[in-house]
Amino acid sequence: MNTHISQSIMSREWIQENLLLGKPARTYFRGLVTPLNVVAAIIICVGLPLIVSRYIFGLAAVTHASNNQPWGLFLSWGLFSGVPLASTGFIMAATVYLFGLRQYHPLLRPAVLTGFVGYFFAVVFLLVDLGRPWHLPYPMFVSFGTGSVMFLVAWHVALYLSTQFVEFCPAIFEWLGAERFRRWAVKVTIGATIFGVILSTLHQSALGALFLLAPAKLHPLWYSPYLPLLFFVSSIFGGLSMVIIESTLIRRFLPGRMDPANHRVLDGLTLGLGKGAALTMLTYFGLKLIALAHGNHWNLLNSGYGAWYLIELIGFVALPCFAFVLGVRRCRPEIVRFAAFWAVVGLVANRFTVSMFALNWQLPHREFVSLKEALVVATIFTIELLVYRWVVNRLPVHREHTRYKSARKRHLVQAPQPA
Amino acid sequence: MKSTRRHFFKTMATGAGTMLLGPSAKAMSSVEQFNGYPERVGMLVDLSLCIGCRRCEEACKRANQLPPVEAPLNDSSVFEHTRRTDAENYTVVNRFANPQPNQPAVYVKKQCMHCEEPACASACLVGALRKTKEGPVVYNPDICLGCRYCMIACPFYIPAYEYHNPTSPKVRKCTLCYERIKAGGMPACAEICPVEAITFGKRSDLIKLAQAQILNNPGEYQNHIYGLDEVGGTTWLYISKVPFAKLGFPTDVGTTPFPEYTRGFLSAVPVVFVVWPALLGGFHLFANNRQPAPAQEDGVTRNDEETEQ
Amino acid sequence: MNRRTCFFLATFWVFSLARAEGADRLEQHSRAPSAVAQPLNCTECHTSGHPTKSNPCLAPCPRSAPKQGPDVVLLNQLSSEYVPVIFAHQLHAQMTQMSGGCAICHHHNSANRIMACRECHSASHPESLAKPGLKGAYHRLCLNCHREWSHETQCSVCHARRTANSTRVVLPDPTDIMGLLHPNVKEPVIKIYQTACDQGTLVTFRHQEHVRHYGLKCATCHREEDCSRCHDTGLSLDRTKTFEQHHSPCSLCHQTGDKVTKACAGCHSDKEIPPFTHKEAGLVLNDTHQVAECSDCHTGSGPTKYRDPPSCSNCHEKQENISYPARLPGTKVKLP
Repeated sequence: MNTHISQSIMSREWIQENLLLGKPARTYFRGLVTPLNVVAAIIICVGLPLIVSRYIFGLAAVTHASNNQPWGLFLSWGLFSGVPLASTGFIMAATVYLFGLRQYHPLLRPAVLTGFVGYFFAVVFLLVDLGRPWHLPYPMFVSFGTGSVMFLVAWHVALYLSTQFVEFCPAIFEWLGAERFRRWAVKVTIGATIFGVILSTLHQSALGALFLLAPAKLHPLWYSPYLPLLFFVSSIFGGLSMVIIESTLIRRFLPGRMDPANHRVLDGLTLGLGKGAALTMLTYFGLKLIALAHGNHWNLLNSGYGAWYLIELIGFVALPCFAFVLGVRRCRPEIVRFAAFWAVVGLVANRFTVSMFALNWQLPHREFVSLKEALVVATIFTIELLVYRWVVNRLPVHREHTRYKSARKRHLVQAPQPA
Repeated sequence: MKSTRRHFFKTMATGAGTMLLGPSAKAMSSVEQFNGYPERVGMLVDLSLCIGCRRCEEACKRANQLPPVEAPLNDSSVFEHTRRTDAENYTVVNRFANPQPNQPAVYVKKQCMHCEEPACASACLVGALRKTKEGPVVYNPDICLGCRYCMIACPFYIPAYEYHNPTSPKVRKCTLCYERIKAGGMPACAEICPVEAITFGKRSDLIKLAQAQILNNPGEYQNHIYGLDEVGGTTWLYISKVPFAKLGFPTDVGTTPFPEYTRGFLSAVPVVFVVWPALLGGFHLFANNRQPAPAQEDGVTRNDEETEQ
Repeated sequence: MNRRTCFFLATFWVFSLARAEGADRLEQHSRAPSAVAQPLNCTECHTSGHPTKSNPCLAPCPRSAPKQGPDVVLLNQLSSEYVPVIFAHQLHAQMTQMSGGCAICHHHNSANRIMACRECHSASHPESLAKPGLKGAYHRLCLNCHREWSHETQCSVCHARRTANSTRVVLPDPTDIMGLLHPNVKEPVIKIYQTACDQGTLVTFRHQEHVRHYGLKCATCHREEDCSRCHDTGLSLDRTKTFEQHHSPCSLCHQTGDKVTKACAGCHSDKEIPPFTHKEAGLVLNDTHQVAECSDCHTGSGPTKYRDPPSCSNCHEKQENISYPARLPGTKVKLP
């Protein structure tokens, strides 16, 4: 088997077919010069030296993080926003495999890929942000701080990254033409899915639980014993919204990479996902109210932070939820898509609030925005998008691999069509 | 709780597999009450005595091989801004105006409080921060990842990070001169203090001293020993004639040991690991055993992908 | 705490302040056991074996006036490292008379002899909060006041490091102690206060006259002064006083009136009041009266003895039908 793969990978035809999108090398590389690619290249050219400087001159070279505010944009974006938005994998895997809603199968692989790339780049952000990134395996192999929520996050993110890789393996092996490996990978799907859901439940909520240790630092409106639950529930609608957004973007910008059959069912699936997102957002809204009542800090609503809390609660939870409902009720997928963007912005706003704005709210002088940090984040995010596009362009993500097409098509169920 | 957790650290080092389950129920149990090692040390500061000479800052820097103090000790301009500890200053003295009229300003020495149940140690995912049985909370840079969660967790804004160090950045904070204590000495700051505003001793003794001091000077002191109960108790204790809230002390930290705040969540971890597989497996079986829908274009619903070939 | 004494007294909150002898000393009993190394013998402080609260029978202080103390004290506990600290005892003692008195430093002192600090405060580490070690005891006494007005806490201000050249301590001339460590205090001759009184804004106070003629001690008027009165302590003290507080130095001897009687004109005037002459007070000092000492007639003690005019019969035998000043008394005086 191995020799088979290596032989096929080494062959010129294979390279042209699988890496260069079936074009001759010259045509392929000429085709890379597009306006978007040039913009991406400029961003990376500016950002990469910054990232390199971080390893030469220390964290201070790129980050505004201070002794009072040790976590900055890298974690607020890369970890606290990146991980819940990468919950797509476990949500769609659970939907399709555990709850048996097989009509969503076309969205499974893109979701797993989004999840995998999201987690992978969360780790990349960690490698930039950690003081000693080369100690990253220490919690797994060297020293165990078992009383720490961060310990749980580290283990689970590492395990879940591996799990998602396993879940995505069938696509990779299809691409590589490694048939026997593919079958093995398919066999562990259910196990991996269940394991993935467990890990996700725990570390999505653990990201919220991290802040349980800062009761005097996090603003009382956001600090709540319900934080883990809030983080978990919001990650579900975040993931559902991301699936909608991802499929929308692929259909808009890479329509050729999506099977025509998937094109047809996408609107119906989007409405279904919108329904799920509306329900979870409603749950989330209710939980937020319970947390608010439990905290009993109603008087704080009448302050600057209170205003922002209300904007977040109404403008970024209730209203997008309402938009989801509206889109589903009227069978208007474009409204659902808009709501999905809205919900994702709301989720990111919530994570930035908890991990940045509302943390250390009592300190007098705080600075959040740093140009260098933003550039590094933009660079890594650009690379993330390029990687995602690279994979979608080559691997069978939104489409069936030619060899497995007939087999897979059989259990495609017709999704509900918009009226 | 503490002893069981410490014991737990040792036993856990053997099997990484159990790590998945998070802290065991044993570690989370509070049935076995442990009130700290009786011989643990403490530091008592009488804030009404401190004259703001900053000699403790100087002694601390010498004892920890830190660069010398930036501003000369007699330069009172350093008091114009409230300072915090940083990577090169494990302790700082700040000046606060006395709220009572015609009373001299109050100087407050700030450093790691060495909590009885430290938030930073419970935050550390590799156990680089650790509460010793003597009392100090000490740091092992060799295993630290630099995630700086300890800095988030510390309610006193103490741990600082070497942001400019690319190769071996460390979390820096007061060590309570752990090596000196083990050798039978006392922390450098307590030794140098010219007015003996800092008293080093057994924590249990210091509490009695502080109580006696408040009792014997009726009406003069705040009837409160800061650090006796705050965040479950700290090694450093303060008494003052001025309300602590006016002296930059965080008064909203409560008396609950900080590890308690995440304990509930961590105890739920093993439950999820046990219940979820059964629950989700059940869902899976239920969802895939239902009758095939009658009118489907593409034929029968298939169980799993592995059967497709 | 009284704000005027805050400075000196803040230093000694650890101990009882012993301003009012009886009550405060009694309080010491509760603190003494933990505060003093040697168990106290009752007779060290009490002359009687049965002291009561109203009559504690305290043994007299071994020194009746600060003058009896040393001019300069050398503190040489660290003489191996530093040149001994020169402590201007007399200067400090005089100043303390205007506030807390000797007990500011000599707290817990047994009555019969002056105890050295190190008799209680051990050179090693303190065993209790209430009783600092020798280092803390010295520094608390010195630095609590000195850091405030000199803004100087450098060791070298007091401790000169011992070098090869500095083995011999040059004692300052005790008579010139003021010039050495302290600028001379210039005693004013006359002070004319501008006041807000509506019955005459000027108050003439002949300071020198009060000190020289009436034998007033500094501390008679300058009671409960705080250091910041003269020294820059960095504190902006609130010096507003009540009517009574304001007039209290004068009202020791003079009728200062009150807000009701408004008997202000005695002191408050629109112009400077001329110096006191005996003639104006009543008796013309002629003949033998010119050579008499003030105290020959003005018997009693303290400044109050001038307040009530002495009667002739203090010196002259009382005779019937003789009334002053129509006729001089015929009988010779009985001078003591």
